[in-house]
Amino acid sequence: MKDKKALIRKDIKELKRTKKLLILVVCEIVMSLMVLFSTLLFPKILSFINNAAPDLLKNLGNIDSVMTGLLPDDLSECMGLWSADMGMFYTIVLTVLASMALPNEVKAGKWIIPVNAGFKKKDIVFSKAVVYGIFGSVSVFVSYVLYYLIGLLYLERNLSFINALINALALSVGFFAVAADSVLLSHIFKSAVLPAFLHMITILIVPDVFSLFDFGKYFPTHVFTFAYNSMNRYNELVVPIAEIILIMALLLLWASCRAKDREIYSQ
Amino acid sequence: MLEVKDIYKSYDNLSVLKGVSLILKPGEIYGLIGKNGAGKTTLLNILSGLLKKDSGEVRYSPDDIKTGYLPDNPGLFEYLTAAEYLDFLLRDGDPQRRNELLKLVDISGNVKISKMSRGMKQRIGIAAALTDDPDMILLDEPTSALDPQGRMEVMKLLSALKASGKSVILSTHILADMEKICDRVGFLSEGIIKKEVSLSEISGSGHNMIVSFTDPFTEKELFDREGLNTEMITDKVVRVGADDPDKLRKMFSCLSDIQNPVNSLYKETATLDALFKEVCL
Repeated sequence: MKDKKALIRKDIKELKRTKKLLILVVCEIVMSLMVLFSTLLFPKILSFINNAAPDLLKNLGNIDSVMTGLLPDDLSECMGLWSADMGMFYTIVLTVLASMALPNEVKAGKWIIPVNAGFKKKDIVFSKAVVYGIFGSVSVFVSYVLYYLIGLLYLERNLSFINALINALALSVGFFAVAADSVLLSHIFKSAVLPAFLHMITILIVPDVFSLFDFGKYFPTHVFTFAYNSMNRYNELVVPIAEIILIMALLLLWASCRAKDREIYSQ
Repeated sequence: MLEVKDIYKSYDNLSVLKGVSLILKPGEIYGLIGKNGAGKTTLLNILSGLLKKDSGEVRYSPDDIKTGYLPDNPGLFEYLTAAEYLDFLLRDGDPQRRNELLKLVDISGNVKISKMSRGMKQRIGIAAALTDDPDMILLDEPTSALDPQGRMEVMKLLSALKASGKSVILSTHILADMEKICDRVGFLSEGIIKKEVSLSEISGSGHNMIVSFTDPFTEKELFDREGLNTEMITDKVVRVGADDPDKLRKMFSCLSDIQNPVNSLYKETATLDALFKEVCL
């Protein structure tokens, strides 16, 4: 336990001091601002143009109603849009950071002295997965709730706080899995490229495709679809979250098996 | 303390170690010399337990001996301070030991590793290898890539380790450093320890005399007739092979017979450099 605590303390310092946490937070702030401004301003700008110069947008029909449909100024739709955009861009950033963390350190020989000092590779992988997972997910949870509170000021209030909290939790679980699984897979495959690629494809395409089918709600990617759609059928989260935990446990077991001996794998 | 017997290791089809054997005695500093790619790092990785050997035996006496290892390129977590790095390796549980180590390597604990010079990083690497108070320390190129001051700092630290009775296996390309600090050296070439010498042996084992003449040396034939090997260093300076008293007497006889006055004459001391050329090149 002492080893795990020391590793977790070190990994927290890594995330803070190497500006990785800052990158994640900046990504969230940029995404939130983008969604908020596009929701609040785009329909108004187009409406203003339409009023000022009616001929300019004449051929596009009733553009402001189209834009309002795309970027509705109610809280439920806006949070769904935020979740979808976050799912896309944040996944890319988080997956790249998490997948590269361990292979880069191993390649630079940073674990030779700690392993020789008695640290076990499975603890190293575990700590990295947990810390990246927690930072990746907690920051999403906080920014979702903050965005919701800001949205309350400007948008139509059609999403309850409890609903928002559950959505934020579902997203957090999803992003925890994205970060932790990226670390575990990068250790299993001894490479950052494959897990990063696999995750991006899975998170960017699968939720949308599976949401078209009824069986989609039984897959782990449903935690993202659930948050996009701001649904309140909470029992639908049970199976996907159980699967996420199971997948993480299996990956952790696989990674631990690959980490049994002390042999360095930078050779 | 350590007995290594017939270690074999290959990467894919490339055989690097082909039966390395050596013995390290308690309190001894053993130098490992070899060309690039000779397998020094591979051998040290195997001895530290970080790399599996294909076959052979590594026996420690006693069995539970503690080893510390400083790799040739010690990747340190640069975002930590020296004290934080040592605390991490000590599991945050021994501030007294951390302070002892910082004092030993003469580094302030609150300096961030990213701000340190290479010499300081190397010293922190050595401190890291010593966290567990090991009985045996393996150091791979601890002075490479260091400026003279950095080298002096590390050598001073190694002298302190030697004085504290630690056993050390040291690999370096800087043979002058080995001559200063090692008790014995082994030449690793073609996958085996080809030659082992003790430094006390070679410092007193001069084979050659270096003779400097006033005029160009043209009397080679005379020396050849007496069975003395000569090698021109410049046109006026000659190395004469005189590795026994009889040859030494013959050399002086030749020198008294020739008209070319001798400016200076001294015994050439065998060096690791010369032995390295003889064994490894």
